[in-house]
Formats: sequence, structure tokens, C-alpha cells
Amino acid sequence: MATTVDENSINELKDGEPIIRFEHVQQSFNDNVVIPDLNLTINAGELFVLVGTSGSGKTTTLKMVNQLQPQSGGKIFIKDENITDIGLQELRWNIGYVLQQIALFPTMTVAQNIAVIPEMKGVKREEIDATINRLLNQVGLDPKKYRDRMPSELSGGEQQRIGICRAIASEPPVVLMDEPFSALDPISRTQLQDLVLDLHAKRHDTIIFVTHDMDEALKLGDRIAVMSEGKILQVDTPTNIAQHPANQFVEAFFSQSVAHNVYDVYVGKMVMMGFSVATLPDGHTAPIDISSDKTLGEAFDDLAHCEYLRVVDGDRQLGFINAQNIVNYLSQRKRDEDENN
Amino acid sequence: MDAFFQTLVDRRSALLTALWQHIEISLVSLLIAMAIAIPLAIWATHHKRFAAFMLQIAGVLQTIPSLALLGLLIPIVGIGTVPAVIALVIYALLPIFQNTYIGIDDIDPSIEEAADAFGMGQTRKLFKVELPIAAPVIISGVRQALVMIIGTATLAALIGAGGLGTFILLGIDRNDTALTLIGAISSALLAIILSWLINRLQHMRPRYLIGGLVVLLLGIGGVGVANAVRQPADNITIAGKLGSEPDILINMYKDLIEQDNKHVHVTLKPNFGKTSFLFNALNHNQIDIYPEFSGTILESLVKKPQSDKGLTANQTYQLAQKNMQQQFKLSYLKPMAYNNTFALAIREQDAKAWNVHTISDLQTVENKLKPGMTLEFIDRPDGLPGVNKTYGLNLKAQSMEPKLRYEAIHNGNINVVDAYSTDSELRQYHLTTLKDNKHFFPSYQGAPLMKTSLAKKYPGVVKSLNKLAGHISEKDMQEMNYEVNVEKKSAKTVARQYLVNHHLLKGDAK
Repeated sequence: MATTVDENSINELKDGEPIIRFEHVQQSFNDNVVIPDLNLTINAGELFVLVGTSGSGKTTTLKMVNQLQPQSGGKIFIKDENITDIGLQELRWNIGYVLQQIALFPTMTVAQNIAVIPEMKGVKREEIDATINRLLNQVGLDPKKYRDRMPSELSGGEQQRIGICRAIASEPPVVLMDEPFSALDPISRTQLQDLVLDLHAKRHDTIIFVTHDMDEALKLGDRIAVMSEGKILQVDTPTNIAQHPANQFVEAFFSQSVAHNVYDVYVGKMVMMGFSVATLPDGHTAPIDISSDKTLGEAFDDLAHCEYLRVVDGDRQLGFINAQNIVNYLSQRKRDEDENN
Repeated sequence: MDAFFQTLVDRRSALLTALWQHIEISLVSLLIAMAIAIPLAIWATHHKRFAAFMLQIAGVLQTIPSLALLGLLIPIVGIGTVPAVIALVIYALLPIFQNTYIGIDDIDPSIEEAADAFGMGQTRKLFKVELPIAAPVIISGVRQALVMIIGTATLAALIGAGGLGTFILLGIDRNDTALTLIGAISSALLAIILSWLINRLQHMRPRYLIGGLVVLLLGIGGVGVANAVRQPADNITIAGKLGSEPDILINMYKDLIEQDNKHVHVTLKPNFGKTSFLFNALNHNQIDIYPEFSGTILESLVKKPQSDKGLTANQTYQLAQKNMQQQFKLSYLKPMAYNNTFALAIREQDAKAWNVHTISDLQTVENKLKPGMTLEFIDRPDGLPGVNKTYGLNLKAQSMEPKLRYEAIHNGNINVVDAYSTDSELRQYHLTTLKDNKHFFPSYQGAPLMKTSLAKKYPGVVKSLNKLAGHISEKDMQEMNYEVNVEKKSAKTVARQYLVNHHLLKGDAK
């Protein structure tokens, strides 16, 4: 079957150009309006996170992109083409999908699961085989060991790695992820978040990622949209959302969503919220670097040895933190909690 | 146990035929049921309201007793394999439909969503995702259906479709436990083996599975076509009721017809069923000839224009023949000598000692009599009460099971029994029947019954069959029944031996 979609033109988009556009989109189920009027633009190459409580409409928004839930009103554009003008199959073959329930096909092996979309597209057998091996290697699973296993023989984390391989096997320009890690244990979740960041950096694809976990949103998102009751309250970079919440809801959501255990709060998040200094005061040094996705618990260990830590995201320097910053952050958090109770 | 194995060895070729018929009926029914139920269930998964409705209907159909269902089908499609297959298909629908529906409907919705989100079409989703996931549940439904079909198919024998039920019915009819056991055990084994095979199929690759099914279908279809082609134009089908006697008679018919009419081929359907089935089959051209008794014709088949009380054997036959011709356009050919009717029997030594040869003679020894009779005979007005009245006797009989009363008289616990005049036990236990000198019992003479149109088309066949007229005495029939029932000779051998010995058939008795 020939793929006549402007898959190519989507791929040709430069990072930052609009790829998906919601214009006055409305969604209702049986007279129950879930989304009254949604306007949103997602740019090519960004990892866009939709965050909100359950019932906020974030998953519904996601499922309109691949038309699992066609909108009841308004228009959605993929690049400049109205979504209703694109054939359903063509649309979906070019949009990867990762589910919260993982939903690997239980009667197929790992390799067969990954091959599902390329097979439908008529890709040659040898090519598919090569893709399967390459993808398994990329997600850290030995192809020899895993290719012929059945999904039921894998752990949850391994299953979702296969889920991701299956979604990106045919190199779709857009990937939708619907709370993909919420059912996983904390260790697997962290590993898979890192994997998504890693794959995104390599592939430069557009990812729309739905989560109810603000920490996950802050860690992953290039931009974050905070949703509540079918409306978008704020769309911005993690730092801006942390430092300049658009309203009280965003602020409350942000502070409530912090890790229950203070030791699990990300260092990067403290920096975003402003509990840091941009430059070192004279006469002080910061001999130890700490990555922004390390937790406060780990920072305590390092601060036992020196006064300041340099917070980095890869090569980029985000700022410096000392014990005083942490205490300030904790007291702010205490105040928020008291207010909310 | 010895009797069981002896019967098994004696009847192995009949068992193989029955087994093949059973497998054929069962598998054809199963495949038809699958072909209906599985696509319907798949369609129903997209039409929930229809599914609920279908489940109701299939459930109701399943509650109809199988005998009643067969009975209801006879006026519509007649007898034989067709109604049997229809009934079995109806029973098999529910488990297959239900399991296919549940198997697909129970699939995790997130898996359905994944398939949709990857842009799978309906057909691809069905074959790649839904059916493989639902397969174990569907196959278990097919197994349930198969086990039920194989069990219920034993009833097919009742309507002349053959199969292992023939053994069971014959066993019940002849009070031969070994036969019933062979039928029941074979059917149970067949169910277990086929069920196991289906279970194995589950682990086969789909392409081999479909290939296997095609081979199976072609095989069954091929045998069916081959059978149909092999039958020459001048084929005459002769059927017989349950039991050794009709089986012997129809074998004689076949030998006689084929000896004289070289172009005619005779197919036998022994143990075809009870009277009404055979009579219906004859009227619907599903069989061409079967031996019937004059008394039975007057009692149950024709509308009686006049009383048949006190008729002689010849008068009974004449009346039966006249009415068959008038009411059904059936020709009732000339009767044989023997009269297979109710009789009273005593031991040969008693007959000599008491000098008793007729029922009237019993009066002279009434105080010595210890009668033991079947409940039915004691109860019916044309049984013991009628005998007492007609012959001025006052016999009071102990009621006994049919088989037991022969053993009881053999052991001397009783000394008068009721009997059918050709029962092999009369010969076996050296009993003698008493002459019904006042013609109280209706006469039951045997003769071939066939369509008059067929009789006109094949005068040669009629001529051959009439050669038996006036032959075969009650003693002869007892002897032949004894040889088949007790000595386990085949009906074919016994029939041929009689014909050769009486110079009705050329050749030797072997």
C-alpha cells in the first residue's frame, strides 16, 4: 500500500514549526461537555507534556490526535492539513502510540509485536528484522535473548520498553504517550523516563506525553500544558510554570504534586522554583557537580562535603544550591502543606 | 466379560461401519455448526443487542429434549442422516456461539485500542489479534460441542441414521448387555479421543490447522460422493426393524432378488428403527421395501374398517393387504408360513407328561400351573385376561422381566410363560408353544411391504420375494434367531444357509 500522506512533509518540518494545531476544539460525550474550547499548538521536535488531574481532559486531548476519540466540534490540523481529510489508517500509521496498560498483543512474540506496523506498511522482512534488533538494542534489551519471548514472560518495565519499540518501529514523526509509566515501580519509571529523553534526543520526533505527575512533567517536558476541567490553564516551559504559575490552581497543583518524601524531590525542580543562586558569591567554590534529575537525598550526601553544589543538565549549568536554599525550600513546602490542610 | 469380547470380535466389521457413520455424522454436524456459529458470534460482538437475543434463542433450542427435536424434524425432513445432522447442529450452536462471543468480547479493551491506534483494519485485527487471543476459549467451546454431539448422535440410530447408537438400541432390544456396552464405550472413547485431538489442534500453526480442516472436509465429502456415484441406477434399499429376525429376512430378500435380477443392486439397512420410522421412510421413498407383520398393519398402521377379532391368519393377511393398497398404495406381498404372535409356552417334558398341546388343554392341569409372565402381558386386555376369558381359565401370573421369566421356567420356579412365537429362547430352553386353538391372539404373519409403483416397475423383484411365501415355520425362525442371538452367527450366513437348504438359492451354504 502506498503511503501518500505528507509523512515526508511532516518530517521535513524544522524543529519549532507548528505540527499539530487545535482550533476551537470541542469534545462531548452524551451531552456531557468534557472539553469546551481547546486551542493549542504543538511544535515539531518538542516533547510536549499534558499534565492534570484525572478528568481534566488530558487523555481525551491526546486521543483526538489519532482520532481514537474524534472531536465533536472545531478543527484539528496536522501540519496544515485538516485531520478529517487524512485517511484514518494513514493518520494512525504515522502516529506512534504508547498505552498506560502497555497492551502488547499477548499471542505475539516480542519481535512480532514490534513488527506490527512495519508489516502492515509492507516493509521488507529483512528490513523489519534489522529494525527489531536495532530498537531492542536501543532500549537496552538483548535481541538474541528477547526477540522470541512472549510478553507474559517479561517484567512490567521490559514490557513497556517493547511498547515503546512497537510505537516507534516505523519511525513515526509523532508519538503519543498516555501515562505510559504510571503503572510501573519507581525504579523502572525513572529508567524509562531517561530512555524517553534519550530516544527523543536521538530521533527529534514530536512527543505528546500525558501524565498526572507534575514531577514527571517537569523532568520530561520541553513545554508543559496544565489542564483542568477541559481547559488549558497554562502552557509554558517547566521553569516558567514553576516560577510564574498563571493562577492559584497551577501553583497548588504544582506544590501538591511534589514527591511525598522530600528526599525524592528533584534538585532541578528546586532550581526551577528559584531556590538557588545563578552565580557563586565571591570566595566560594562548588567542587561537586550534581545532575538536575538527582534527588535532595543525594544532594544531602554531597553537601556534607562542601558548601555549594553546581546543578547541571548534561553540559548545561542551571545554577548553584547550598544548604540554606534547601532549608528555604523545605520551609516554603511546609507552609504550602499547612495552607492546604 | 468373555461375552463382551466375543461379541466385539463377532461384530467388528459392523462396529467399524457404525463407528465411521458416527464419526461422519458428528464431524459434519460440528463443521456445519462452526461455520454458522463462529461468523455469527464475530458479527454479534459488534451488535451487542443481537448477541443477547442469539444467546437466548440458542439457549432455548438447547433445552428441547433431543428425542422431541428428532420427532419434530421427521415430518419436515423425513428420517435418516439429514434430520440427525440438523438436530446435532442445533445442539452444537450454543457452546460454539457463546464461547466465540465471550472469547472475543472479553479481550482487554486496551488491546483493542492498541490495534485501532496502530491503524489495523477490522479484518486484520480479527485474524491477527482477536481470534488468536480468543482461540483457547473458542476451541474449548468446540470441544464441548463435540462431546455433546458424539453423545447425542447415538440417538441418530432411532431415525435410521446409523452410528454407534445402533449397538445400544440393539442391545436394549435383545437384552444383550455386551452390545449396549460396546456402543456406549465406543462412543465415550470416540469423544475422549476427538476431544484430545482438538486440544492438540490448538497448538498447531493456523495454516496447518486450516489445511487439516480442508483435508477433513474433502475426505468426508469425497467418501460421500464416492458412495453416491457407486450406487447404480437400479438400486433398491431394503430396511429392517431392530433385531435378528428382520435382519435375517432382509438378507434373504437381498440374496433372492440379486440372484434373479442381475441389474438390480440391493442395499440393506438393518436395525433401521421402530415400526413408525420404517413406515414413514417407506412412504417418503427413503427405503423401498421392509418386512412387516399383518397383525401390526391392522393394529397400528391402517384405519381399521371392521373388527379383526377372531380372524384366521389368512383373513388377517387379506384384510391387511387390501387396506394397505387402498389407503397407502402399498403392495403387501405373499406372507411366509410362521406366525410371530403372542403365545403361551411350557417345557417340552411337561407337554409330554401332561399331554398338553393346546391352550384349551391347560384346563386339565390348571392346579399344577405356576405362570410367570411379563407385566405387559398380564396387564393388556388382549393378553392374559383375554386368554382366561376365552379359554375359561383362571391363571394368576407372577409378573417378571422378559429375560428372567425364561430363566425362571428353565430352573423350574414357574412352568408357564408368555412368549413371542419365534423367540430364540424357546429353542434355547427347550420350550414348546401351545396351539391357540380358538384364534384368540391376532395373527402376525410376515411379508414384504413395498410401494405398488415399485412393484409394477420391478415385477422380477416381486417374483423373487414371493418365493418365500409359505416358507419358514415358527421352528425354523426360532432356530435361526437362536443361531444369530446365541451362537453369534451373522444374519447373512444364517439367511443364506436356509435359502440353500430349501433350494431357493443356488450354491453352497458358505
